[in-house]
Amino acid sequence: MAEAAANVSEGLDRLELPVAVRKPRLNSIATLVLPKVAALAVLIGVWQLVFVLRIKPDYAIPSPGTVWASFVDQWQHGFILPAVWSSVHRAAFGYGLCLLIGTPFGLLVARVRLLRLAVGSTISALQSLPSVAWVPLGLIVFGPNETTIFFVIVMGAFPSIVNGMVHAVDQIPPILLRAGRSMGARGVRLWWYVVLPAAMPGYVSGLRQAWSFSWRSLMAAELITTSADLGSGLGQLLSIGGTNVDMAQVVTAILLILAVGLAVDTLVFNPLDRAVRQRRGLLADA
Amino acid sequence: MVWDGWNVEGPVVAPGLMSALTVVDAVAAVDGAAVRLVDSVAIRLDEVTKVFGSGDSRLLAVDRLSMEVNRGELVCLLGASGCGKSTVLNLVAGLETPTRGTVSVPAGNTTLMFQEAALFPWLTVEQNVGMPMRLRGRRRSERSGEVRELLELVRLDRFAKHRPHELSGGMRQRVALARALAQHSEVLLMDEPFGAVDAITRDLLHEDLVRVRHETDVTILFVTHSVREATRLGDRIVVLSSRPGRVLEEFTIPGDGSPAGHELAAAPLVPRITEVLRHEIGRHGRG
Repeated sequence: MAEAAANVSEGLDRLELPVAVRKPRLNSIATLVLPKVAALAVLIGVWQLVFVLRIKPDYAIPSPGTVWASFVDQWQHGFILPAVWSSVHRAAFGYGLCLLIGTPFGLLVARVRLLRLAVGSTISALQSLPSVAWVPLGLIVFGPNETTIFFVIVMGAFPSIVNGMVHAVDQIPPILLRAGRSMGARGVRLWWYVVLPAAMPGYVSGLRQAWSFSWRSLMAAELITTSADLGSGLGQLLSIGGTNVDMAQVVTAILLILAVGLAVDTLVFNPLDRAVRQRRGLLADA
Repeated sequence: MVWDGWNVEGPVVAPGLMSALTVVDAVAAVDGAAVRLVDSVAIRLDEVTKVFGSGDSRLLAVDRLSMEVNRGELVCLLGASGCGKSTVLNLVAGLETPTRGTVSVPAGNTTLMFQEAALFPWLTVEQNVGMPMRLRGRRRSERSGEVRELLELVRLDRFAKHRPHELSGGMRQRVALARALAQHSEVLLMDEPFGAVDAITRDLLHEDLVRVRHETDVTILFVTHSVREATRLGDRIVVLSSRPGRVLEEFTIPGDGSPAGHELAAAPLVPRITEVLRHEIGRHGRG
């Protein structure tokens, strides 16, 4: 009798569990990569067509081949890698500062009602302020050096982290907090074991957005802040190209800025975001 | 002659044994009675009134409600919406304080179980069940054995490493039950815990609860609006009125301890309980 009941129970468990149908891996890679390659090919094709039609003079619209040659030339002269490294380095440091400042501040704003009433809307407003607006302010206060660059990154990106944290905490289902409290979790323990892990998906979204804001802020700062002892980043590469009316270098710099931004998002934040969501069953295709 | 022999032999041995047994029994009975006098009651509500809000928006949720739940008993609070069932659970859990009257839980700690499983989606099944122990500062090595036992109790030991979203609704409720038991409370307060699952699953969950209850001796106060669920599970059924909640009538199901016996004893009560409940709901219809 008991065994029969156990069988029924186990049978129902098995029947109710979703059956995983695995798609062929090759197929899924092809469907992921092919559209991107096709889009890129079309883009280069249109570019080449515009060049061939001579709508604008060569110096304004160089051919894809010219840009490629410029890239190879700058690579061989050793301009590219140091510029990329210098920018990535600054972005990483600035972003790290953002994390250190934004995370605890976000927690405080989420937790302390009075603080939220005081600064909550200001932080939302800061998020819509273009970070390039901070450059003149930084230049006057800190001068044309890396401190200004870091200042601009932090001002540009930390509102995203704070807002991400605040909204993530707000969106925690109340039943989870009730469950935590009914198990005896209070104060710091409730935050450590329930609130923070429950807020993780929203926090990671904030981190991801903060990265793109950091990268943009850095470019704005590098484009404007130039000095001999500052060394060159991608923004400076772009700035020099503009000054010299060297469109091939300008396009090269823009493509590099895009590529690095995309690479960090794809290699760091996308997997992090997916991992956090997959764990919680929040992925649509999981 | 042979029969006589047996008859003679029987009483010869028996009196000694009998008297020995009687003495032991009497001691046990006295002991039992003493124990029962001290703390046979697990939950006691005495003339409890709960008022929410004040002035015009004042709501009398529970009105002079008195009841007791004995240790090891499973009492179902049965009532339609607005009977203050959940308020009573919150009062017993200590999440609300009564406006008047007293609530006491001589049995000790209480644990609440909700209609939703409310599992933590970032933890595996075993981590969820181990959470109450973790919150009490017990190390992983100390809790793993007990977590496994609890998962076996709810027949989910094969799913220890799964995450909540990979389970069905009924399985999640069983994890929630195991997690509730992991709190080692003497009293389990269940707020329509099987309200959101389908009929077949609910049937199985009822069987699971009956089994778990007999294996753990936990006292259960179970809130439901289903007559069927109440008669299936309860040793005693307390029917509450709606707005405000008062005790309308109590039914005791004189089972023999077996599920079949319980069902048999409960069946004749179903029409009467249904009638009481429907009459109470109808009273509100007449304005």
